[in-house]
Amino acid sequence: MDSSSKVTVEYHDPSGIFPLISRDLSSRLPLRNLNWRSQNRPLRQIKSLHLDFVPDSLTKKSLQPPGPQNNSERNTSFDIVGNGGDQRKTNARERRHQIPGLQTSPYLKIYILRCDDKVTYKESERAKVREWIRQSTAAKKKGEHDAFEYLILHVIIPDTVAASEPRWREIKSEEIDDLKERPKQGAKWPGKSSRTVFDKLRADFNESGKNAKDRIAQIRLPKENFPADLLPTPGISSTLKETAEEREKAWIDLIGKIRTLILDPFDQRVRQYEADITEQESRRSMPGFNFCTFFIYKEGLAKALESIGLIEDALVIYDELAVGLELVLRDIASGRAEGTATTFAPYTDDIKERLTGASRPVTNGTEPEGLDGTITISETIEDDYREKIVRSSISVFDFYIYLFSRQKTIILRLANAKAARIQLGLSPKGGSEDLILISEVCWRAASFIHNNARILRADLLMCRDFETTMKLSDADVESLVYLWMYEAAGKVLQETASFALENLPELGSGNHPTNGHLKSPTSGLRVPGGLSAYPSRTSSLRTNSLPPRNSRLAELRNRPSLQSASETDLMARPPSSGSEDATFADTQPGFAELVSYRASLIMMQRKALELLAQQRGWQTGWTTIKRSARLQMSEVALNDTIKEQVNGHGQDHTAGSSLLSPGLESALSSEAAFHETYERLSEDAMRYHITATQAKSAEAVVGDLAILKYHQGNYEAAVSYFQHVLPLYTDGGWNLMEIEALSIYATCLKELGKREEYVRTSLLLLGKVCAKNRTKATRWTKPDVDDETSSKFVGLMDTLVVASRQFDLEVVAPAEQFVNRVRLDRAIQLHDDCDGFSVPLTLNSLLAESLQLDRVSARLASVADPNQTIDLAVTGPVHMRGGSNEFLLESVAVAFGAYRVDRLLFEAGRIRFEHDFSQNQGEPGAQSDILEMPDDPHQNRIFLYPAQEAFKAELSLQSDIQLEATRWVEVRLNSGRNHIDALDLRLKPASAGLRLRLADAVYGNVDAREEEASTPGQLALAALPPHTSAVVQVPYSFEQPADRDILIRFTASYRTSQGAFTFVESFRLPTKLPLSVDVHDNFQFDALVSGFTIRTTTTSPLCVTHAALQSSSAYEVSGPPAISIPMPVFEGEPAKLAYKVIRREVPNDSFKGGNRKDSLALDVTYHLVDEALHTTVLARFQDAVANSPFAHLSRLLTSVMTLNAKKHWTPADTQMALLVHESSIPSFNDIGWEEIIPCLPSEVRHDITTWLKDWHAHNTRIAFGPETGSVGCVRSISIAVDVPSVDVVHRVSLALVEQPRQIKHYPPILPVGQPIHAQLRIASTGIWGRRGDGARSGSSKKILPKNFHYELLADPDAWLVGGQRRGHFVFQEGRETLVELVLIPLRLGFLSLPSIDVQPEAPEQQGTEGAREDGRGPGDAAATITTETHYESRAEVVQVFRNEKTTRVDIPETAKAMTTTTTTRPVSRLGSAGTKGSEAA
Amino acid sequence: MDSRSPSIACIGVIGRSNNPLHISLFPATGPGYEAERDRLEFSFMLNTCLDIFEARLPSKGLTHDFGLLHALDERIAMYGWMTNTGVKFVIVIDIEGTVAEGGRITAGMGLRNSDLTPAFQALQHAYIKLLRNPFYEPDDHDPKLTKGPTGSLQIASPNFIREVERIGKAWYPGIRSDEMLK
Repeated sequence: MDSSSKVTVEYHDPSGIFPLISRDLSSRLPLRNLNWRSQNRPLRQIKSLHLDFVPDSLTKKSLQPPGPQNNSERNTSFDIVGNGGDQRKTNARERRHQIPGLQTSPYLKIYILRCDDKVTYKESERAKVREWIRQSTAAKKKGEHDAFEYLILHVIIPDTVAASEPRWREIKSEEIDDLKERPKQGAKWPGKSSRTVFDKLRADFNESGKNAKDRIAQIRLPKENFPADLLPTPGISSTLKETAEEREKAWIDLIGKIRTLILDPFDQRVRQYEADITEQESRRSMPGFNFCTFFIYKEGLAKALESIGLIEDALVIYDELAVGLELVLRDIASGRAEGTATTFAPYTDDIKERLTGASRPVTNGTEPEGLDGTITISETIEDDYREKIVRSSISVFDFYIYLFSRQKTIILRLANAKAARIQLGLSPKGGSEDLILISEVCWRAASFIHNNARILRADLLMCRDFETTMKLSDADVESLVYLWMYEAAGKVLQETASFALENLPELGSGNHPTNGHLKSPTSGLRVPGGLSAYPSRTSSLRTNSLPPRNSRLAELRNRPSLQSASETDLMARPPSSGSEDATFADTQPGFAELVSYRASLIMMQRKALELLAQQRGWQTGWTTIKRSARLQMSEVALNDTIKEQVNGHGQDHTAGSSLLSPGLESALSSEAAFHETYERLSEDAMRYHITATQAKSAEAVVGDLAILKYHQGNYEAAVSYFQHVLPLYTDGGWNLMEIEALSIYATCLKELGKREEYVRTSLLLLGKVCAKNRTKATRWTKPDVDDETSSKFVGLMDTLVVASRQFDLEVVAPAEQFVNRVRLDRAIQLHDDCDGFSVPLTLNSLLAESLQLDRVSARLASVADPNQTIDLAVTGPVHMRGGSNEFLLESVAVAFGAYRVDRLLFEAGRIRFEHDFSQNQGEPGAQSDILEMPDDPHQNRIFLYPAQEAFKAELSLQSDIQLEATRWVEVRLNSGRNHIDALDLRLKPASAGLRLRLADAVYGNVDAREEEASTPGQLALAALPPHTSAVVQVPYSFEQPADRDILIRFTASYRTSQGAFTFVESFRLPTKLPLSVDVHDNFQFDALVSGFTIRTTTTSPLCVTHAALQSSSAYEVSGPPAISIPMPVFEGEPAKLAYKVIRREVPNDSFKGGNRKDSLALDVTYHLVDEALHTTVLARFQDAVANSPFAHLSRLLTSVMTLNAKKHWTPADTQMALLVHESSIPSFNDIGWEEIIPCLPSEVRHDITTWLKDWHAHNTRIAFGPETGSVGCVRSISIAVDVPSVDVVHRVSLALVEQPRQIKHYPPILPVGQPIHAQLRIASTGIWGRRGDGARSGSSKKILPKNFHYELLADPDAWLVGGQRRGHFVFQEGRETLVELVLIPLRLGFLSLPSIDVQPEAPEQQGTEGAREDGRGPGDAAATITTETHYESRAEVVQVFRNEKTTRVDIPETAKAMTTTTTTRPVSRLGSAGTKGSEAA
Repeated sequence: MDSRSPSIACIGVIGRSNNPLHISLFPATGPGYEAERDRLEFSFMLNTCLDIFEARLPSKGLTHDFGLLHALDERIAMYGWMTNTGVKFVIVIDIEGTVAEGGRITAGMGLRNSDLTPAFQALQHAYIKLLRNPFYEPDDHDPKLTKGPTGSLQIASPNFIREVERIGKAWYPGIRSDEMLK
C-alpha cells in the first residue's frame, strides 16, 4: 500500500536553477524504504517518503516577480507527478507558533549552488554559502523541535569550467560499479592546483571528523536537456563528457545524502518530543498541569511521525490522547481535577452558525466546505483548533471533533481510502483500499457521533445558559444536535465511500416498488451473499486464511464507545496490509464490516432525520405505530395516560425548531420531501444490511419502508414490502412485531380491496392475538403486557365474517388458534322420543369478543375403526363468547362403542375454523392445549350407546353352513320404537377380497323398495312398523379363499316421522370354521366304511350335539347304533365317527359315479363351548338387567358385557367348564365397568355401580352343562362327502383248509414245522367304480384290465410257503379264484398269516389282445386303474407251538464195561478189544 | 437540569433459536423522562441485534461477553452476552436513563464494557437458577422443538421475572458483582 507522507525540504536557490534539476529530482522521488532506528523503538521502515520542495523566503522573494517560473514556485513531488498544485495551502505555512511541532518545518535545507568555476567560487560563492549556513543554523538553536540538516548541491552547468572538472577517478569501463571519487588531495604538480570546485566545497564546508556528515553533493546537467538560452556564452569547448553511469552515481549519491540528512533531524526531533512528553507526563499529577499543553506536545510527536510516514505510530499516539482526554474529563466531572490548569471552553460558541451555515456562504450543495462543524476539518481550521487547544479555550465538543478528525484522517490514509487519496492529491482510482480499516473508521464514527451528540447537547444547553441572547429553545437544541448527527454521519459516509461499494446489489425493483409486486417474497431480497437464515459470512469465513488480522479486528469492533486506559493495548494498529488481498471482490476482507457499519451510520442519519421531522409533526416507521395507537387510546383512557401523551414524543408539533442545515433544508422542506429522503436512506441502509447479510436489520428497514408507504397511502407498495418481511417475522416467536405488521398489512389489503386476502390475513392476525391470550391464560402471574393488542382488534372478527359472506369460496382457518381446552362431555344424552343423542361440548374461546357462529360441528371417529365417523352439530346462530362456552351438539346417529373427536368445525359466514385431530397424531405435544388434558388417553373419547328402544341392527354369518353352498351374511333388523318409512342399508366390505352380492339379497319380513333405483352398494327397504324384526340375507364370496375375519361397515339410514337417522356400526365376523373334519374310507367288497374325524381348530373345545351321514340316492348309510351325544371335542382329542355305506341297487342309467347329488352329506350340529358359556352368562345378566331398574340401559350394559366378557375365559377355563359343568362369571373389574360408568348420565351412575357390583357379587359361578348353553349358539355344518370311485375291489381271504384244533376265542394252534393246507380265495368286483359300470354294461369305451397278479408276502423266517406264491388271475365279476397253498410255520409264537398283495398286471405281461384291440398304447389303463384290496384274513393269527408227541430217552452203558475197556486193554489191543466187545454185543 | 446517569432500559433474554424468551422494560426516571418505553420498538431493537451476535459469533472464543453490540442513538446502546447454550442476554442501556446520584457516572462519561459485566453475571445466575427449576423445560421454549400451534414461548417463571426486574432496577454503572448478585 502507498502510505504517503510528505517531508518539507527547503531550498535556497540564488541562481534560479532549481527548475533545471527538478525534473530529474522528481523522477527519483519519493524516497523509498527508509529505515529509521531509534533508541527506544523497534526498527521502522518507511516505505516511501514524498518530499515537498519549498523555496525559502529569500528565494521566493527573488522568484516572485518573474511570471514564467510561477509554476515551479512550490514544486512538490506530487505536483510534478499529478499536476495538481494546491495554491491555497501555502498560505497557512506562513504562520508560526511558539509551541513546537505545529508547523511542518523543513527537515532539510538545500543550497543550490551554481558555481561555474573556481574563480567565482573563491570570489563570491564561498562567502554566500557561508552566510547562508550561518543564518540557517542560527535558527536551529531554538531546540531540537525544528532540527534540520543542510545540504549544498553543486549544480554544474554544461559548457562551463566546472563542467570540465572531473569528479570521478578515471576508470576502466568494466569497473563501472566501483566508481571512486577522486581523492581530495590529488595535486600532482605543485603550483597548478587540480582541485575542482567540488573539492573546494568539500574542504570548506564538510566538517572533519569521523562521524562528520557529508553535506556536499554535485549534479551535472547534461547539455542536451539544457535550455540553450541559459548556456554560458561563450562556452568552453572542451568539457568533460560524463557517462551515464557516472551521472547515475551522482544522483544516487545525492539521494542517499538527502535520505540521511532527513532521517537525522527527524530522529533528533522525535527524541526532543519524547523528552518533552516525558517531562509533561511527570507533571501530570502536579498542580498546574494542563492537558492541552500536554496534548500539543504529544501531538507534535504524532505529527512528526505522520509526516515521515509512520502513520500507525501516529494513530497510536492519537488514540492515547483520546483516552487521556477522556480521563481528564472524567476527573473534571468527578471533581478530582482541582489544581490542574486544564480548562475548556464552557461551550462552543459558533456551533449554530457552523451547522446552519448562517455565517458562511455555501459554495454548492454537494461539497459543503464550510460545514466544519461536522468532523471534516480542513487544514486551515485545524490550525484554528490547535490554537484554541494551546490557549486552553477549546470546547470539549470541538476537542473531540478535532481528535476524531485526526484519527479519521490517519486511518483513512492508512487504508488508502479514496477520500484520503483525494486529499493527498493523488488519483482517487489508484491503489487498493483496506476495507477493514475503512470500516474501522465507520465504527469509530458511530460511537464518536453518539458520544459527541451528548456532549453537544450539554454544550448547547450550557451555551443557552451563558448567552441569553441566543434564545435557543429546547427544540432548537435538539434540532441542532440532530442536525449535527445527520451531517457528521453523512460526512463519514462520504469519506468512507469505497470503490468496493460501487457495485452493491440492488433490491430487485425495490427502488420503485410502485410498479407492481416484487418478483417473489424472497427473490427480491436475494443477494449474492445469500439471505438465508444462516448466511455465509464472507468475512468470517476468511478467518482461516487471515486469522491474526480478523481476530484483531473483532477485538477492535468490540471496543467500547470510550476506551479505558487498560485497553490501550488494543490500540496498536495492525500493520497496514500489503497488496496481497487487494482484489475488488465480494470476499474482500472487511467488506461485510464496512457495509454493516455504513448501514448503521445511515440508520443514524435516518434517525436524526426522523427526529427532526418529528418536530415538524411528521412521523413514519415502526416506532410511530405504537405511538399513534396510544394517542388514539388516550381519547378513551383515563387521566394517567394523558399526562404521558404530553410528556412523550407527541409533543406540540408547532414548537419545532426551524434551524436547519443547508443539506437538510430541502429534505425537510415538506413532508413529501422528508418521506423521500427517509425512503432513500432506508433503501441505502437496507442495501447495505443485505450486503452485510444482516437479514434481521434489513427486515426491520423493509418494515419501515412498508409503514412509510402505508402512511403515504401507497398501499400497493406497502403490501409488496410486507410480503417480503412477513414470512420472516413469523418465525422465532416475535409475536408483537408480527401482530403489528399483520395488522397494517391487513389494513393495506383492505384499502386495496383485496377482500379475501384481507380476511385471510386478518384471521392470521387474530390467530396471533389469540396465541398471546392463550399464553396469558396459562400463566400464573399477570403478565406485564397490556391488553392493548387484543382490545385493539375487538370487532375485527365480526367485520371479517360479514365480509366473508360475499365470497364464493370458503376461507379455512385453523380452529386451534382461536379456541382451546375443547372437551366433549363423556356422558351422552339420549333422547326420550327418538333416536340419536346429544353431547355437550365445552371450549374456551381465545377471542376477546363474542362471535356469532352459524354452525358448530364435530366429527367423531370410532376408536376401533377410524373410518367409521359420526357427525355432531348444532346449527343456527350460536354465540361464542370470549372465554368458556358450552354447545349442545346433536347427532342423529345410533352407534355403539368408543369414539374419539376427530375434527372440530366452526362456521361463521364463509369462514370455516377447522381443526383436524387426526393430523399430527402420535407426536407428543402436537395437539398442544386444544384439548383440555391432552395427555389423558380417555380424554377426548366418548362412549356411544343407543337407547333401549332405538333401531337395532346386527350382522352375523349364517349359523348353518353348507360347505359347498353359498354363504350368507345375515342382517337382523329391529325397528325398535321407530315407525320407519324407508330404510337404506349400506354394507361396505372393509376386508380385501370380500364381495357382498347385494343384488342377490334375500329379504325376510321386509320388502325392498321398488319405486326408486337402488344406488349401488345399498339396499333400499320399504317401511318397517315399530317393534318389528326383519332379516336380510346377503350372500358373500371371497376372491381368494381366506380363513380370516371379515369387516363390514354397516350403515342404516332410516326415515321416520321425526326425521332421518343413521345407525352406524362396524362388524367383524370370523369366517374361519371352528372345526375340521377328516374322512378315511375303507372299502370292503360290497360295502364302504367311512371314518370321520372331527377336530377343533380353535383352542376352545366344542361340543357336537348331533352328527349324521345322510344317505343319498345312490348310497345307503347305516350309522353306528348309538353315539354318545353330546360329544365333546377337545383340542388334540378329536371325535371319531364311522358309517357303513352300501351301494344301492339302482338302475344303471340313473347312476353316475361321482355325481354330486349322489354324494353323501355329513351333518354336524355343534356349539363352541366358550360361546355357549358366554351366551349363558349373558342370558343370565340380561335377565337380571331386564328385572332391574336399569332396563332402559340394557343395550349398553349387555353390549359391554358381550364385548368384555369374552376375554375372560381362557381355553383352560372352557375345557374345565366342559368337564366339570361349571364356570366362573367375570367380575365387576373384569368387565371394566369403571370405564363405562362415567359415560352414563350422572344421576344413575351411583345406583348402577351399586347394582352391578351387587350382581357380580351374587353371580360368581354359573352351572354349565353341555346342553345348557346350546340355546343361542348352535351351529350346524353340512359337509358333502364324496364316495371315491375305485375301479376294482378285490376281496382276498386266506383260509386254513384243515382246521386244527381250535380253542374258542383263541387263535388256531399249529405245530411248528408241520405243513398245513391253506386256500387263497380272490374275488373281484367293479361296482365301486365308474368304469366298472361301463364294463358291466359293456358300454364303456375303456377296457378294464382283466389281468391281475397276486403275491403272497410272507416273512421268510416265519412261514415256509409251498405252492404258487405268485400267480395271475383274470378279473371277472362274480368269479372267484382259488389257489391251494401249503404253509409251514417256522417259528414259535403268534404268527399272523401271510399278507397278499394284488396288483394289476404289468402292461408288458398283459395279454396282447387288449392292446391290439383298441390301438391304445399299453400301460395307460394299468397306470390309471385304481384298485382296493380287502384282505379279510389280515387280522388272523395262529399260534405255533412245538408238537411234542414222543420223547426218547437214551440210557448209556454201565460204568463197569466202560472201566474194563479202559483199564485192561493196552492201546495196541484196542481194535481187538473193540472187536471183542462188538462181538460180545 | 439535573445530570443524568445511565440506567438499564430493557433486558432481553433471547433463546437459542433467536426467539424472545423474556423482555423486561424499565422506564427512565426523573422529571421529563417518564415517557413509557415502547415494547414494539424494543422488540425491533432486540431482534435487529441478533444480526450482530451472528456476525461476531465465529470470531468469538469462549468468552460470553459480546460487549457493545450497537449504539442506536446518543442515548440507547445495546450490550450483549451469550451463554454456552446459545441463550443471549441483551441489556439496553439508556445513557440518560436516570437522575445521577452522588458519585455515580453521569451520562457524559459513557460506559465501559466492564460496567455491564455484573449485570450480565447476575442475569446468567438467574437463568441458571431458572434452569435448575424442574418445572422449566428449556425445550418448551424453543420454536424448533415445539410443535403445533404455539403461543408465546416466553419464560413464565415469576421468580425469574422478578429477578430480572430486580437486576434491571438495581444496576448502576460501577456496581460491584457481589452487590449485583446479592
